[in-house]
Amino acid sequence: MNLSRRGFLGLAAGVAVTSLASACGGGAQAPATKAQGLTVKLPTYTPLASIPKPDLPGTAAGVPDAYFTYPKELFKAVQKPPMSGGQVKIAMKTFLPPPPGREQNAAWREMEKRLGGTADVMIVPTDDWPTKFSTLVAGGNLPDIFPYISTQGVNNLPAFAASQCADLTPFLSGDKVKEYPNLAALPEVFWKQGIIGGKLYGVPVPRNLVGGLGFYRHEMFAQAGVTDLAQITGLDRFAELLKELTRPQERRWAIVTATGGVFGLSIFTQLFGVPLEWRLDKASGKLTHAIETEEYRAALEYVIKLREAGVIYPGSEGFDTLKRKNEFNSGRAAITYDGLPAYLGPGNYLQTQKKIDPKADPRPLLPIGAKAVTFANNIAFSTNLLKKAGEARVKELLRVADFFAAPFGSEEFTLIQYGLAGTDHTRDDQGNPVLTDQGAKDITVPWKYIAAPTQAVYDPTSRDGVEHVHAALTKMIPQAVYDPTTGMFSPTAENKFESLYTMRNDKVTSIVAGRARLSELDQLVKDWRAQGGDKIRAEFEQALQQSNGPR
Amino acid sequence: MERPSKAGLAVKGAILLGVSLLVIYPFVGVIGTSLSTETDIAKAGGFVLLPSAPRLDAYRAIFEGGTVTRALLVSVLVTGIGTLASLAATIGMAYGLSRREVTGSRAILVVALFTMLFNPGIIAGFLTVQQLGLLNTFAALVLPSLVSAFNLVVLRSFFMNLPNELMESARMDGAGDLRILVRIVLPLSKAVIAVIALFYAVAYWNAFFNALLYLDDTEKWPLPMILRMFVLQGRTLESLGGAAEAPAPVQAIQMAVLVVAVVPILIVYPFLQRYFTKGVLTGAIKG
Repeated sequence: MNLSRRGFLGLAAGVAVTSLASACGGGAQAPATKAQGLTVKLPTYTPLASIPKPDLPGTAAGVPDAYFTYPKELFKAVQKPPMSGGQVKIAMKTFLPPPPGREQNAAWREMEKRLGGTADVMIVPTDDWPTKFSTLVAGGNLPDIFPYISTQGVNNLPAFAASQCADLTPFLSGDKVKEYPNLAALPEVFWKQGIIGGKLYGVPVPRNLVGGLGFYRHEMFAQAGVTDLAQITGLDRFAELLKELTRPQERRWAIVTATGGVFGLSIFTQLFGVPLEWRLDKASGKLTHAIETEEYRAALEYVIKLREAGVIYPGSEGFDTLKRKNEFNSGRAAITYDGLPAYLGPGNYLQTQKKIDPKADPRPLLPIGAKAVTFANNIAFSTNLLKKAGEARVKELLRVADFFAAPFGSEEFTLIQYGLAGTDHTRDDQGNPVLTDQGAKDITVPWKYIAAPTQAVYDPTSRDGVEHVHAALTKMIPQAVYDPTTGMFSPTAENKFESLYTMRNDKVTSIVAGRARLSELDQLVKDWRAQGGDKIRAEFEQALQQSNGPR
Repeated sequence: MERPSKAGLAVKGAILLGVSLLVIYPFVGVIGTSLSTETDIAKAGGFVLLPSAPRLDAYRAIFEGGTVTRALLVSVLVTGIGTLASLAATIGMAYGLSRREVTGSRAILVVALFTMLFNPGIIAGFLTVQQLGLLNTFAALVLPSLVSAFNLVVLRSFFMNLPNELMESARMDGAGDLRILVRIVLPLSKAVIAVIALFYAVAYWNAFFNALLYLDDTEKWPLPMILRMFVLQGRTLESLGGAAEAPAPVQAIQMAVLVVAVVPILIVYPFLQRYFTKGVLTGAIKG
């Protein structure tokens, strides 16, 4: 139901966008309906000098700084208000219940004071954003700053961007970004997410690069004799361990999955060294897709064996996300796949499991075996586009984005995350902000998704938790594999991504579930190639040739 | 009539009890889960019948901050005013279309029926509302769905089956159409109108999609939109940051939301129920 509605909207928005693009005429660039390489000079990475000293320092490779406590002394990251009166209209997706309006929301009023203008925020539930976006485009009502996600249903994204969005290349490329110091502190890898049709359009909201391999219950592993993941010498040993962890008579299984999770395949594709989407052979410039690789087949075979061995929670392939989390939280499974952001903080794995069982010790699962990689699939939360406008206005909007990219420990960051001191939060004797009841509501305005700094690891409630996440990122980020086509454009990929993905996921799920044979993988690859895979490959290979520098 | 045997009664009783339990079970579960703690929910696998230590945290989380209470007010007003407006428009239109002597009534009816088969789509609807200047107004929650073709057809066929002689005699006594409608047709149509009112009211009460499309200001959102956010977003409720505690377990909040959404309808239903079966049957069979 949902999908077909989206499909329909995609079509509708596509029509609307195309007609808008053609209506725009002279001003707009020729829409890029052909493959497009990465030719933009990305904004120069210029780290900020004055950030608070971390408890666990990060690395230039992208491992974030980590803090056990919040910096006691806050500093000002934005010297003067980014706006001089006037209004900025912002549309943002949210995962949270709606906030109190401006009149009852001290943090909102303070934010506008700091911004130097009115901030009208249109808050849209994440699931509804594609629908809302279509109507905003059709009605010519685009706000000044709005998110773009790939399932949003624009058929010709470069044409849409060229006709409706501000090209940020002339404002941010190379050293120009230094005018916006907080944005300049974002490494290049994040900016690649904002490239559309060969130009920089998007302001990224950074995450910690890798989403991880899911989580495991350390105390259960220890019971089975594994006190350190390094003791698991290889994938055969891991399979044995999973069998030992499975005790159906105690209602406990090694792995719990959920619908669409393909029996935890995401963990094993990484352990087997499958590429993230594409693998580039640098010598020949040829691309191989993940599902065409031997590693993928091996990972599938491995998961099939696991299922047959009964270590995967029976029936959990029909669970929804909440049910999967419940079962993992209550100790009925030793491993689950989920993104690293689901670990720290209220309502997430660490706190919830400690509440249910103080002995519970969930930790991020780390790469096991010689071939393991980690997917760089958590680079950015989203990318936000700016509405096309004159030079002065675009600069003003970029200053607004720069404001929201203020780093951890700054006054601005504190306001964005914890609201107004005194009203929305107080600070404990360690200096950690503690939200008041009012604060918990006030801060649900999705400010933090407008733009953001690189994400520090911080959780005052658990020093261990912070250490685990930092250690996991330290191990995983150097092993990360990137999609070599990031920042490049293939029209076929843009249009076919969802249908190809669904086709693939359905078939692979059937194969692992035992409803189809492993040999049907060959047919799937053939179908996938015929229905767009080969065309996407050719377009991306062409795009790679046009791109600047080695990847 | 023969008295049923004891065994027969017992079997019937058992079946009825079984069916009742089937119906009541999920309700109890919803209420139970809404009052549960994280531990209860995790232990019971997400569905708690009897919470070990009932807590109102989830309800507190929903009602705190006034967002839900304000949305509740919006919903009550939209449902009330919307239902009245819809009834007025539908009754007027159905009466007009039920008079065979009205020229063009068939053509208008066909247009109305057409909307049952093909709806205009989201974008066209949005553009219309935008051009009428209704964006960000409460009218956008009512006007686009003012007349439902289904209700119109039910009402029209009911009106057509009223004895024509009644109206003719009224007309001979000098009554105009408005008087006939108000004095004769409406009093005879109480049942069917009650049913249609219920249909409209439930639809307005549950509607969120128009609010999503047409209202940018969250302060104007009706209850279902807000509740939907609690339910949908609960799935991935992100950390509120800092040293905050999660206000209540996600599932407890979701279930509490269901209770809040269902209770008003449950309260209204018994009052309209006696009209309900009668009304639907009248419209359906005679049509």
